[in-house]
Amino acid sequence: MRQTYHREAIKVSKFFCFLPVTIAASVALIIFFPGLCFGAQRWNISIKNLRLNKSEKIVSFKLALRGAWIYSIKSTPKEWGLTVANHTKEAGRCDSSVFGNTIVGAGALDASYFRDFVLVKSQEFNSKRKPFTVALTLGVSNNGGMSTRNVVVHSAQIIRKVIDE
Amino acid sequence: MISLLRFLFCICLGFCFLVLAEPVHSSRGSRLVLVSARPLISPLERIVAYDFRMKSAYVEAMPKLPDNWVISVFNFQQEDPAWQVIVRGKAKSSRFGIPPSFFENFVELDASDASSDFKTFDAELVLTISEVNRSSRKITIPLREMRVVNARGRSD
Repeated sequence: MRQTYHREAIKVSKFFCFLPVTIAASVALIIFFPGLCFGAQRWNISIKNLRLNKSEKIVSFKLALRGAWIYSIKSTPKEWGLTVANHTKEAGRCDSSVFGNTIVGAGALDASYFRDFVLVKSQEFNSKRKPFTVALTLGVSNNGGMSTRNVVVHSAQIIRKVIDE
Repeated sequence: MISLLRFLFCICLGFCFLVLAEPVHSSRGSRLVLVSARPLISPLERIVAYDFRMKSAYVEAMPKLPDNWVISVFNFQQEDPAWQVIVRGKAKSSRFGIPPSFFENFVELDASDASSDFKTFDAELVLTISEVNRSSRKITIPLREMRVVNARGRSD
């Protein structure tokens, strides 16, 4: 009787010794492969390698999305006006945009603002890496505000990062 | 049998981790606004537009934006001296109305320009409420009916 009990206890302890391994594996899976989680849909948008002259600042921007809508604005700059338009058409395709501009030169931004500046939600889970399209145009002015030019950010410079399920 | 059970247990545990994993969001703003408007509208009604106005504070972030809405943030001094910053939202149609629960943590504020006792800080939320394809009505929620908490969740 005692031996049977002892044998069962060993079996149970062996069973639970896998617990830490399972927890560690699950955590690693979530951290390193968030896109594999069910229904990965939310994405952070950033710009990389944006080259501006030292005297230049960003005074306006327009972000246009297809197949995704704007879920969150991570930082709303002071002295700026922003308009977010989220539209899902009857056919089911999303067309969304954010347009922003500053009303005074002092509100102009540098490129660091565009690191994870919006959170977007792709329309549906898609195993492809880029289930939606992004276009970004910046209005860039020199420090004195004497001249302004438009910079179309190349799609290769726009980073989309899945952040969660 | 034990091996099978162990395998199933591991699968279930992994599944639970994946489903229950919560995203971590940073709260960079100094304050959050929570609005308790739930008792004011009937279950059939939905909010189809809103105007959020405040002074002595800026909008730091918009943590959630509804689909099929247009939201405008005027994060600067307005011509109307009573209000400094305005957030205005409107649904594309009454079909896309939102429930009052949307207004929990819907805006993150930077109130660093307000006086230390927040006497200069003020806010007002005007909601336009409608049933689908019915006439609409407006309700105004003053600051005293809002709950303002800081980003760490401590009530002020």
